[in-house]
Amino acid sequence: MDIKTINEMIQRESAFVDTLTAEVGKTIVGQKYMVERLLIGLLCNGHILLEGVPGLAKTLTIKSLAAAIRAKFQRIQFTPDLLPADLIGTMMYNQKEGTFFTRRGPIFANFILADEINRAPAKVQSALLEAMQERQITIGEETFPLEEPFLVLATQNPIEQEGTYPLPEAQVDRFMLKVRIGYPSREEELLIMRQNVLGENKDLKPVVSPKEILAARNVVRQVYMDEKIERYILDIVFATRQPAEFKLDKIAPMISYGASPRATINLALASKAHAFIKRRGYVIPEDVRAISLDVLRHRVAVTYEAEAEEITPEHIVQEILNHIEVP
Amino acid sequence: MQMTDSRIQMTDGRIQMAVCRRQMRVARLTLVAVLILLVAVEAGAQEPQLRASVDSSEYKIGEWVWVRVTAEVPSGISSLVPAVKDSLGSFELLSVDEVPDGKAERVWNFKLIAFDSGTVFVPPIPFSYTVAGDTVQRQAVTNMVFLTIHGVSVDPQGELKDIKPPLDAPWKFEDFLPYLIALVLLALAVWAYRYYQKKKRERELAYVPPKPVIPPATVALAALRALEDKKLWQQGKVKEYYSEATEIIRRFLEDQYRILALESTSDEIMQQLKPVPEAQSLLKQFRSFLTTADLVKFAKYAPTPDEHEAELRWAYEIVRTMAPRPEQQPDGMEETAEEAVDVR
Repeated sequence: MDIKTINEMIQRESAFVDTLTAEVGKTIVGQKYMVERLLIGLLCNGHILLEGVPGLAKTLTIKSLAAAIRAKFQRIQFTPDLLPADLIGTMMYNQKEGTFFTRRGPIFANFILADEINRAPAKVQSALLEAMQERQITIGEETFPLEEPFLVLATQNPIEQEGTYPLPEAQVDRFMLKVRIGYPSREEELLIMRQNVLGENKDLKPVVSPKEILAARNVVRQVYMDEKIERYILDIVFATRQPAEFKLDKIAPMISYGASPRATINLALASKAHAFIKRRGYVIPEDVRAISLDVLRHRVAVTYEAEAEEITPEHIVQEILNHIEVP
Repeated sequence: MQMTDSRIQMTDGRIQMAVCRRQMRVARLTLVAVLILLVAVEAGAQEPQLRASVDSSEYKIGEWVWVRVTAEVPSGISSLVPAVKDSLGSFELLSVDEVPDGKAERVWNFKLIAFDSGTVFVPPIPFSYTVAGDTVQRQAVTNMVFLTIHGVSVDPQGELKDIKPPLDAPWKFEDFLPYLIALVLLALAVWAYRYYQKKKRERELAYVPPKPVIPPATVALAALRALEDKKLWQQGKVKEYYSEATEIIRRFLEDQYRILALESTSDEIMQQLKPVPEAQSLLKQFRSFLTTADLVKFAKYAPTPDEHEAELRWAYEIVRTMAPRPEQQPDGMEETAEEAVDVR
């Protein structure tokens, strides 16, 4: 397919992005960054780990997105006493008929907000992460495929660590993006304050159907990515593994382990989705740069020495991005 | 008669037997006595004989009293050590040293000191010892030694005198040693510093100034001319042509304005150019230059020959406009941008 055709197709298929963003913007002030990342996750069929202090409209954003897409939304508060059956469902006994029947858990929805995922023990986390990976649930002897689109947004509270079960590195890698949400700007917060004080409840209308999202996923894969961009992505990922080869000797002792091949795949996919959202039929280095931090921050681990110096994975990724030549 | 004789013979036999029995009893008793005597002698022989002596019987108060203890140690004694702590009667024990004398006797020197005047005695000094094949600790003591300790004679009629200051200990080599080492180290440090300064001066004298830096504009213009001469787009190598053109401009920005242009995207470059005064009139052209190059490089865009030429024209204009004027040229720059443009 030539680039002109791709561009035209992208222009046509990505039209819903503006409508969707505008609809979500009716209830959400600011948080454009988060909404954009949610769309990228949705378009790439990837899940997102959100990190931010409470009260940043995480729940409201995903709820609004679900409402604007006409999708089913479920919020699950993870607690230490949560059981896998509370999440996926269980077999129940019908005394009247003398038979067992399946009661489906809250995971059977399009959009799942796994709130404070690190508060639940490992077995519940595993149950969720398995469902995220397999996109199907087995209860008893029956297997149920999860309805598409299926997007899990897990949140982690970065300020409280007591009584939590931090996600193991292998599990974190299953999240396509790890998005760090910051506070809104002064002007945005003024609007938030006014909106909430007046108590205006704006009902969101569904502007996109799940079918359109699924169709857009196929279009995203058609976005053209030049070999130069592919090599640029590889340079970034390889620099996290062998920094010395990229003349980044000073950060070499700070990296405990680098990004996995899954990071390469996700960085390429997310860059395509970013180009799609920007309504372009081709990927440019800006797309890669824009999404790199979210794809790599949970896939690069720093050493204890670096932690002692308050060096975070973000610092490492930023240093790599500042050092690798852009094609 | 025969009977009488036989009786006499019988009586004689009995007497002889009685004499024999008596002799045997005496021999047995003698043997027991000898054995008892031997055991007693042996037991007495196991105890060490200790003798304490002094060189003089008169000492001044506070003067060291050397007590020499000589021990005759029998062969059966396995260990013999003084069993004293820090004092002996009215004496303080300062030290105990065994003196090797190479003889069968063992000798210890006890250094004592007393602060009471009068006739005093050094009490028996206890020693612990063990006998070979026995773990029991036994004790032997020396004899007592009588001494006279004289106090300081005070003239009650004489005038009062101040307390004398402590006497300075005589200087020994060990006292000088730390100062000597410090002096040697200081001398070494001074020598090393002078040596370093000398070498530095030598290096400075041998320093060859680097070649004058060619201004980034000159380098960029030369590179653009080389790119033009390569005729890449004419040969169908459009992507290479645009890649090289943008790289020349990015390198120029990096060298001229210390902007991280090679590591920045087009948008980031535009952001970084905003505060640069020389770039203000060129921002639109810059955007077009970078966008066209991005389209060719990443979106398979095929520009027309006019666009190819326009791209290079923009590149020349960017360099010429942004090159510093002669008065802005930093020292050491070999050629000014104006000269570089003239060359072209």
